[in-house]
Amino acid sequence: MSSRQFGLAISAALDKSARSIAASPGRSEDAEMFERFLEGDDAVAVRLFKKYNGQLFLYCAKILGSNAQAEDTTQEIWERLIRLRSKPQPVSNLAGFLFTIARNLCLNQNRTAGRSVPLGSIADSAHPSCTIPGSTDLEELVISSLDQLGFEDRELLVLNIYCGYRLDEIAAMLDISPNAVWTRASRARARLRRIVADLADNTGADGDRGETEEERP
Amino acid sequence: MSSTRYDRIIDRYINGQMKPAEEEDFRKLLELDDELRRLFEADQRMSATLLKERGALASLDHPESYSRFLMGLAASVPSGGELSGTASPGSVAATSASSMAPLLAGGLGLVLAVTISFFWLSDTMVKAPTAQHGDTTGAHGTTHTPPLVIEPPLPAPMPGAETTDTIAPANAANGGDTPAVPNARETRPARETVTEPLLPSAEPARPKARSERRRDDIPTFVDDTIRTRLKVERSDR
Repeated sequence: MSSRQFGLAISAALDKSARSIAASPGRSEDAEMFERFLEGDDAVAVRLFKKYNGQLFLYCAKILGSNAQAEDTTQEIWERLIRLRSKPQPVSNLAGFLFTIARNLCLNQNRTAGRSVPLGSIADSAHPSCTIPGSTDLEELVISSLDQLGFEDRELLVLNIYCGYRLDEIAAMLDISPNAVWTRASRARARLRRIVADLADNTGADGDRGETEEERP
Repeated sequence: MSSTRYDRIIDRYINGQMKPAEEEDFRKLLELDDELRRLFEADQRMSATLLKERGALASLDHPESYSRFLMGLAASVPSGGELSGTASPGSVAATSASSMAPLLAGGLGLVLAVTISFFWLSDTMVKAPTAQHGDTTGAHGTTHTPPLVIEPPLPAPMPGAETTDTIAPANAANGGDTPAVPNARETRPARETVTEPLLPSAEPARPKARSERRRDDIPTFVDDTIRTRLKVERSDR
């Protein structure tokens, strides 16, 4: 039986599983799902994967600056989660738990890779910001300017803008006060805004009329 | 106006914390204050670009991650447990078996080798005592290997259904009123029908073919075992 067939068998059970999961009062749906995942319910496992994989990938891609590395890291996160089935442990905040694993793995990778390479020394072809097809110069600069922020500020913006979490959700996820998150996010956004404003002034180009990647030789 | 104040105003506007009147004032201020307009436009451009990149990244599929995730799930299923509503352990085992064909083949070969070794050893063990008694199948030509009727071991008696071996004498003792329970074992030749000559044959034994020797030797061992077991069973009864 191939993994695809296994997946088809699982998808057939997903609807049934979705109907049967009803979060009991006082418990989050995630906690309910995670408990069933640990008990061996594969349909719930797939639901968890579909719910969080995209966000985890976005997080890793922006923190690591490489889609391939992000893919590997995301797989590693899921493997670690599956390993919990043999050694279960209580997890009250699943999103926070997953993003903590992602954060640690990304930090480890950055540490091992020694990503202290100046942005200017990276070749255009290997530039981590070349992810939007047909993007303008200014857009690429804006995207790359995110790397100029510190790790914590960048992480906050990635969770907020890319992963779509509200600031209060991020506060719960990172286990810090909402006020602290609000202040940090505001400061990070202001810093990025100034970088972008300066870039726009220096290039003197309107982003919409800039030379696109496709027009380049 | 200080840069911090610009940032605060822009944040409040972006996060929808302004009242309608304040929003109107903010729009008027944008036309008048160049620095505020510059920062606000930079913020808008930044948001649009980051969201555009987010859309591009989110549209990527991750089929390899998904298939690896499913494989991990399949491998993580406990062997005795039953999955709730998805796949049975059998299907998971089948998934694993397809990827473990070389390992299974190796295991099968090992089992085969062990089986062959067992038969070879048992062959050797049987030959050794018979050689001491002169009842050998060796090259001396004094072979006397009895023709054997090989019977499978008798199954355990059904509760309430005794064999004719024990009922028949009882009936005879009771005057034969109770008919013997028909049993398939009645039709089977008795144990004594195993023809094993007690004395060596007077005829000079012809040398046996190798395959014939092997076929004869092994059942001797098996038959002795069964006979011993039968004796024990009967004495127990």
